[in-house]
Amino acid sequence: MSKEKNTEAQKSEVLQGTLDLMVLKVLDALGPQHGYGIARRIEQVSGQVLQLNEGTVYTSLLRLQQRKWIAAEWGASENNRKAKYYSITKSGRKQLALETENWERIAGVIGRLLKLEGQG
Amino acid sequence: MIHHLRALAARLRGLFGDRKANQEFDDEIEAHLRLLAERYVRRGMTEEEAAWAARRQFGNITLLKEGNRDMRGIRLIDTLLQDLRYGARMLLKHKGFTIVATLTLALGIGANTAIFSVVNAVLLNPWPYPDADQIMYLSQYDLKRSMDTVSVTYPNFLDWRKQQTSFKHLAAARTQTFSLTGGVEPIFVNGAMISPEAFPLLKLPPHLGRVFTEQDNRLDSSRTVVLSYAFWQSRFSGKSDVIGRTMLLDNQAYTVIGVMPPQFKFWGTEIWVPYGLFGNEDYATNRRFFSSTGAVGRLKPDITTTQARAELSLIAARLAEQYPDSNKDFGAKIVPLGEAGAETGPNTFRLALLALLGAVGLVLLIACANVANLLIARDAGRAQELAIRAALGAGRARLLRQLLLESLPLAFLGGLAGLLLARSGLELILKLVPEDLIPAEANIVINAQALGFTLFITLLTTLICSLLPALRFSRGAALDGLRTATRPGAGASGSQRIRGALVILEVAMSIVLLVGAGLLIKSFARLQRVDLGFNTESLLTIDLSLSSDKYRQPQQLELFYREALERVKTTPGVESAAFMNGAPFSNFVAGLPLIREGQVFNNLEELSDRTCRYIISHGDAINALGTPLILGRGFTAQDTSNSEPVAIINQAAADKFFPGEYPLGKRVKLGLPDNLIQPGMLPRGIEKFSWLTVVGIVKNHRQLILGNEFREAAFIPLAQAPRSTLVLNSSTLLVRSTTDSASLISAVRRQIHSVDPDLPFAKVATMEARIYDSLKPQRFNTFLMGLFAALALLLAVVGLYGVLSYTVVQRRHEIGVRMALGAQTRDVLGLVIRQGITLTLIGMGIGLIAALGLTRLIKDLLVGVSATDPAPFLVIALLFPMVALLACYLPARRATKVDPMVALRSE
Repeated sequence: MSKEKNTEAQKSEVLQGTLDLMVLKVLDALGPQHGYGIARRIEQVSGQVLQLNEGTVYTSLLRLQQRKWIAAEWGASENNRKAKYYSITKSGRKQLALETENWERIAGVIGRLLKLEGQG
Repeated sequence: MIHHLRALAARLRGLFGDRKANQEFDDEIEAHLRLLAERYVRRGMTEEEAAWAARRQFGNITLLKEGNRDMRGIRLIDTLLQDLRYGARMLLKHKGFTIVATLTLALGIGANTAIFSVVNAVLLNPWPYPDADQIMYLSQYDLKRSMDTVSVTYPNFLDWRKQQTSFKHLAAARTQTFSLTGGVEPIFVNGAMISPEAFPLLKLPPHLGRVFTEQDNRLDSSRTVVLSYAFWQSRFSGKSDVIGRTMLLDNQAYTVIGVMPPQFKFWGTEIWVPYGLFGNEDYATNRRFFSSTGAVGRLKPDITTTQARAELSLIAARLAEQYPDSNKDFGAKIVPLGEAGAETGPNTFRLALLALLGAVGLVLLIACANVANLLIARDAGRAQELAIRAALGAGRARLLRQLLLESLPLAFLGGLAGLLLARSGLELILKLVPEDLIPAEANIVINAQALGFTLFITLLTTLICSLLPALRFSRGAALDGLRTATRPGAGASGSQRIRGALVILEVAMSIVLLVGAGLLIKSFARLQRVDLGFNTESLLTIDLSLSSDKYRQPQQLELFYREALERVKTTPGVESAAFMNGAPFSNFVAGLPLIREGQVFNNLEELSDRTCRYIISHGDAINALGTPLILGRGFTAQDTSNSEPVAIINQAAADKFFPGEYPLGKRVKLGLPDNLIQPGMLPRGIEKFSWLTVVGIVKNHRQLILGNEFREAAFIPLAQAPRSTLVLNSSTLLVRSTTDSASLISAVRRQIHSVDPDLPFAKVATMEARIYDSLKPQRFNTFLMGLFAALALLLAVVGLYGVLSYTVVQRRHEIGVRMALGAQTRDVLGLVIRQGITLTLIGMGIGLIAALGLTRLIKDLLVGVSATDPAPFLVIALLFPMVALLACYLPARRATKVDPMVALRSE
């Protein structure tokens, strides 16, 4: 029990908050997208830096949906297939602003910290 | 915060429309994978390679689905219901198991619920009054002998109330019995005179009408009475027109002004009258004697008990200075209402209840062990299932949860049956409960608190029952289970060990209870064999209280006694009869110092160890009581108010006050020497005490079996007793009959009513019934402890039997092989019995040692028996193995019936 949980936890814990933030940002920037589209966008932006199990995007989407930060709707894809489209909600935008600010602050702190260490 | 709630709401919604959500999610993943694969194909991969790459990039689909389903809140509830359903199905499938386990649980839970209801009503929440923790009981005590607590005298109470500032209300109460006449038959009513403050103090408004005010509390106020709910129901059928009606109490007309609600049972009486009406009586004006008034107070909210104690002590000291004759060395004592009465000695009923609570706790543990064992046996076939599940990665927590949930349906059944059992058990307990030892307000029922307790112990029981078997899944046990999965004959050694340990525990706990019960039984048997010193057979007793206005003068009382006795004696079947103030097992006991002629005492303290039981009798008391005369003579008709005053003393008094001397003809005084009597000190009608000549010595007799205050006793003829109505107005009629005394009751009643038709009887009972009643607290303890010990024994034996039977089934293969190899019936019997006896002996050893330490806890419940009295230990050490042997023999015999061929074939 403990073993199976651990491996999963390590992966997602690093990513969870960050991934949620990225998904929100993608939806904010590009408008309504389906899961595949979101995965592509993240891949495109991150290049080879981030190795992502694309399935986890769906976990993130469900989580964001439950919190009412994004909404889902069935629509037709580019090649006219049925697909679920996700869009950011009003409270999702608010959350994004909050998280972005948070992220920048923490990133700033970490940056300074690392610099400090480099000097010392 | 809010988004957590949202997530929760989403999860709950997820419970419904589950399938659709799953389907959609599958579709979504499907689409995603296809798009990924198409992309790889565009980059030049084959279809197969592309599909593979897509999956790799996507990650573990199953895990994802599980995770998402979990997030939607499905799996938890789903498996929950599954486990519950499985548990219920198992109950239906194994009916025998279900019945035995339910009964076992019901016994444990029922006994606990019933005893808890009593504990809750008597010890935890007896008072129905709001903010009852502010209510204090106040009394006086002798500063030199701090245990000697007495009630307050009314004048002292009035001074306390005037001078104190700690209490918001301070109220006095005194028990007073009344005869209620005007109906078909005179009725004896238990009443109390109380100060009007008692009502605002207790904060319960009347059910009907109003309560007393200060206007009703003066000497010359018109007489009013407030009724208890129960009295109103029984005497006035609960009719509301009772307000304003008059009642004839002791020949005085009282107007009914109010009815209190059912839970108001202050002073445990049926009616209440204002104290002030009696402000002129001896007991209300005498500061030294008649400390018969109880006082209760409600503390002001910001005052602590300590502050109140300090203030009252100051007041008491001031009064001691002001009235040294009566108040010297008397302090004030304040205890919370719940502790009132506890100061007179160890509160044995409290102890008994706690001991019983402990006992039912042990019974419940034994029941748990039994049910755990039954579960292990029932689920033996599932060891493999569970082992496989564990091997496939089901966490230990998941398995525990499963086992726990599966036993919930059983717990539900057990709890329900236990509740039913508790209800009928409580009826039995209510019959046994010694009412005198519990607050009148205590309402022993299964209420919400008791139900909560039942729920709690039921869940606790479930937890223990289902987790004990789960111990098997300790590390490695799962592997064990897998290994043996292929061979059902060979039991897992781990589970065997747990079962053995459980049986040892059961035996040990039941031994502790058996020894405890044995000690109580021995103590009780001793009490019943106590030589009371008088003949208890064919003796009818009737308590009379002649307090009405008819008997304001001692002469009137004497006249009544003389006439009544004459008539009673002529009743057919009556052998002898006498009136006695201070008869055994009656409520009237008085003690006075005995002094001898020629002895000089200079202060009251010198008299403190000379107290002698003081029995005023009219008629042939020595014969009626049936206590043998050792020396001298009994009373005769010649002992009148004009003859020389005489006394008959008992052997103990003779030994103590006349050591080595011949007491007959010596003169004694029962009371105070003249030089110590101060004006106003004695009740009206008594100026001094006269010298009495000792004319006889009788064998010692007991006033009570327990709590015998003074061993020394003296009998005084009524005609020569002090002329005080207060001393003379209560008495017990003793009728010694040649026939069954109960059959005489109505005839004797008629005779007395022919003298005074308005006289109610306070209590009519044979002496044997009184003696029986007096042992009610001991019977309560002994019977219940015995019952619980018997339950424990039964459960332990069933447990032992169960384990051995199971072992025989499990070892059938081995036994078959042994028999095939030539083992005799005797060997097989020995094999099984040896195992059972080993478990029993280990359990007994532990139990006896534990009992040796634990019985100390009930030593205050034992009379004349030490807590380590060897007899119960020995008896149980000898008898228990025999019972255990029986439990072992049955499964052992079954083992001998094993057919080697069948057993081997089952391989």
